[in-house]
Amino acid sequence: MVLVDPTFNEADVEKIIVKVEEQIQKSGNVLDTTNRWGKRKLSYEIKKVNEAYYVLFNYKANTQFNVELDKSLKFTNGVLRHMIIASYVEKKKAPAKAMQAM
Amino acid sequence: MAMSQGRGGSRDGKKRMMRTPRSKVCMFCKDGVDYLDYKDITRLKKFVNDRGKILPRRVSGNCAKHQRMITVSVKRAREIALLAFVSERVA
Repeated sequence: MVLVDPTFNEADVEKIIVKVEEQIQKSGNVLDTTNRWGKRKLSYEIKKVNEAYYVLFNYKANTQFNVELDKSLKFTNGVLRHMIIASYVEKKKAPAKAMQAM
Repeated sequence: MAMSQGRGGSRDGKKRMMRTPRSKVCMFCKDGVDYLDYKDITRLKKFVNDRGKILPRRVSGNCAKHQRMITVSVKRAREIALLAFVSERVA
């Protein structure tokens, strides 16, 4: 999840999104989806700003890449805030299997 | 909220029945929820009071497992400004 500065115009926001997308794909990772939430009001002020463009990236990558991406997003101009988390993967239910065996 | 009456009954001298607390069932256990998304703010807002604090289990009636899920999700939502850390008290 990336929050982009609203003072940037649409084209600049798109540039940042494309840059992140390229970075993900460049390292041989799989980019599943890019979800543009658009401009949203923030619950609290960040860097004297009350709004932000929310963009959600879903991708598959290793831990090493996540560290790199985290570092680069920190220093990307226009990114107010970002968060990289592991998405939920549905677990296979073991009890159901046991039931089948019975 | 249940009003505690103390041992000697009510102040006006009349005897009143002590309210027995209703046994609460975890809402998420009922629905069979395995994961609570931090982006699902409408759901998370139900477990946060008007000041933005996370409701305790004693109030929300959630089980330990799902309460843990709520705290993690609320804290994540706060980090990306979907939820507030603290809301100003309305005067």
